[in-house]
Amino acid sequence: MRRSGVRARGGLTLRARRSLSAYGFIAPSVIILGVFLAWPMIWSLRTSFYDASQFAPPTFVGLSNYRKLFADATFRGDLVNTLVYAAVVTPIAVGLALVFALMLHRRLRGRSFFRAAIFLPAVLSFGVMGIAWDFVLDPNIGVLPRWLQHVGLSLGNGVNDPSWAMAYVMFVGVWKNAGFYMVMYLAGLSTIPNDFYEAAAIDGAGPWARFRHITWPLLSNTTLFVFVIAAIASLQAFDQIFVMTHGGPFFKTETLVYLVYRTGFKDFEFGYASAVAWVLVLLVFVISLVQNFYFGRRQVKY
Amino acid sequence: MDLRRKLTVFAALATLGAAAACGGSGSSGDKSGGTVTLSFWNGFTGGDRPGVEHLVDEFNKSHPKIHVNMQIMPWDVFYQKLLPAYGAGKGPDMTAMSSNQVAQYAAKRVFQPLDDAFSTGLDKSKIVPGALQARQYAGKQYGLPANFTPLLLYYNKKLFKQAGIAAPPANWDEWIADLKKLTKGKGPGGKPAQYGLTMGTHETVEGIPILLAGQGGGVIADDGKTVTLDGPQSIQAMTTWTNLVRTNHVMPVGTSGADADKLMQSGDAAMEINGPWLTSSLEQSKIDYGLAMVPAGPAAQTTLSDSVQFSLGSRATGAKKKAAEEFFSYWNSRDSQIYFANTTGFPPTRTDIGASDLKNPNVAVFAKYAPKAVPFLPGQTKFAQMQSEVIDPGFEKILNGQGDPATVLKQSAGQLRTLLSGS
Repeated sequence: MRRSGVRARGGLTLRARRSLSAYGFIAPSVIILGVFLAWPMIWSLRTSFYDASQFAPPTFVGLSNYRKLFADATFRGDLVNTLVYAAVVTPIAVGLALVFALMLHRRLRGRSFFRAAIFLPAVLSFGVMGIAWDFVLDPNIGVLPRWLQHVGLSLGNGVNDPSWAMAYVMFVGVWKNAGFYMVMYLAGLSTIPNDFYEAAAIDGAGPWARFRHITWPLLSNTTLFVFVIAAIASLQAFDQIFVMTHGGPFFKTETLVYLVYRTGFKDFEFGYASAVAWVLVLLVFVISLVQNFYFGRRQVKY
Repeated sequence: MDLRRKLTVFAALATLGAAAACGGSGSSGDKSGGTVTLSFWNGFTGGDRPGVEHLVDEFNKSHPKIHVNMQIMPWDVFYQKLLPAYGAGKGPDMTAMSSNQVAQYAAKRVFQPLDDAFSTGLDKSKIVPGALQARQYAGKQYGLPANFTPLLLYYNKKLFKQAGIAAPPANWDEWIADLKKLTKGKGPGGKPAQYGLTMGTHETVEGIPILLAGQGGGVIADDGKTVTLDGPQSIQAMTTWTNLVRTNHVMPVGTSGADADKLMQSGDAAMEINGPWLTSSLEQSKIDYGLAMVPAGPAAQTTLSDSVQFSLGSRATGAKKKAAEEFFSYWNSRDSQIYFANTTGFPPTRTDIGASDLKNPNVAVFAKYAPKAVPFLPGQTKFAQMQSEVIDPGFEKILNGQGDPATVLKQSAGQLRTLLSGS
């Protein structure tokens, strides 16, 4: 017991002092995350079991919000919209990102320009882009429909067209994020040692074989990461929808996050909005777990 | 996941809370020195802002014992802030907001009835009747007009002349004939290059209910309890206009109010139903336009109104209430209204101001038809939900050809019945 006698002036052991200063360093993050993240989440979970509008004191209603939710045709429609949006936007954005990365990983003239051009949308605000695309794609006064008209192509009635509106917001979603994922892939590509390619070339492997057996497996860590964040970003689709369609025409482009906003901040039904939010939390959690499991088994260490 | 979103929501709430607290400190009626301070929130951020600020300044100067402390913010901020602020007991003494929104607040007892104002100076008989009707809830007056305007038919004189049409249509037969003549050309995607009519069907004042009313139908009857949206006249009107839109393409489908205005400004649409706020942008775009009453339907010639109304928070009692009543009377006085009409382009809220007092001939036209305008769904506590979640989506579904008028209107009517006040 005398071993622990290494005492500092404050009367604390060295070990205690170390852990104390460690806690001191992480305290700001823990406090901020706790106050702004964990606590609101816990609070919203609680709220989801209450009938809470802004005025009357909240009354406990058990699972009633959740029951109402699954009986609500708008919610079901929004759930389908969200899943469809994610199922289309995620693979297209990631696929394009990979293609761009492979092209721009090679030495070619103007490489930095193309990289910057493709990455640029990622640093712009979603809202600003939504407004800009809305103008470009406007069926009556937009530039793109006027040009396409000359080659006989029609974009329908633009964001007001129930069968086109979703495609429009998906397009903006892909355009916004592909550049960011491309940068991730570029980083991944630069970690693959050149020796592998040289060896493969000596063995007579063609470009496809090299991609299939070297690039793709060695990028799997990057792919896991990119797919998970891309899926999460797609499931949270809101910004361009808010700007371009307001969820319309008649809820055709309304996603779950938009429903949370609408019920929470327009109808002031906080209990119901919290229930929707928690369904979304669970959805994202499950999808991320599945992805982790799927890609985790294919992980490559070298 | 949703963490980031949550953070945003939390931050938004925190901001609202802080803002509400600021607003609250201003409203804690400072009666030192015998001055009554009234906090006043509104969303007059548009072209009417200078006129509003001037009137409030003049009122403060001419009433040394009252100080109106006005905060102007964009309407969307205003609506998101107001209910939480009142919920926290820190709402403003006075507000001005769209007449459609009031019932929701009245039902929550945030506002108090203003019927007393009529005995303390405001002459009820001089106010445009629709302007008072707009803000009634449960038989009491919860709002007094800040402005009130009918929606009228704008028409592009140049396009009318090109089509050989001499005067704006007076009834539906003429209107329909004119619309067909004015819809022409080939634009993108096989659509007309020029539309006869444009009208926002979401994010804006309502136009289609005016058409339903022209046929003798409507959305909810004057009693506020009977849904007429699926009545035979409403279905008939909707069928007529849907055919015009889907077969003759006289109007683009699914436009927002802003999109409709753009078409009118670019000269790609010949007519639009809208309020006086469109005049300045048409003048900027050098469009030679005229104004007329909405053409008479087979059953009635009527139009809807749009109105911003004052309300008084239920905590403002005693001296504050007196002071607020004085402000409302001042605002609706003859002199103030002549000034307001001439600076903002809104017609006066009074019936005793003639065309000779009004410098702008457009204002005189709006003033002329103001008595014919009726408010849209007054007294409905769930107005916003009815409009954005049932009525507008229903109309757009029909105009997009996704369901026939009778079926969709029946569905929408069923949803409206569950949202009716008191159900």
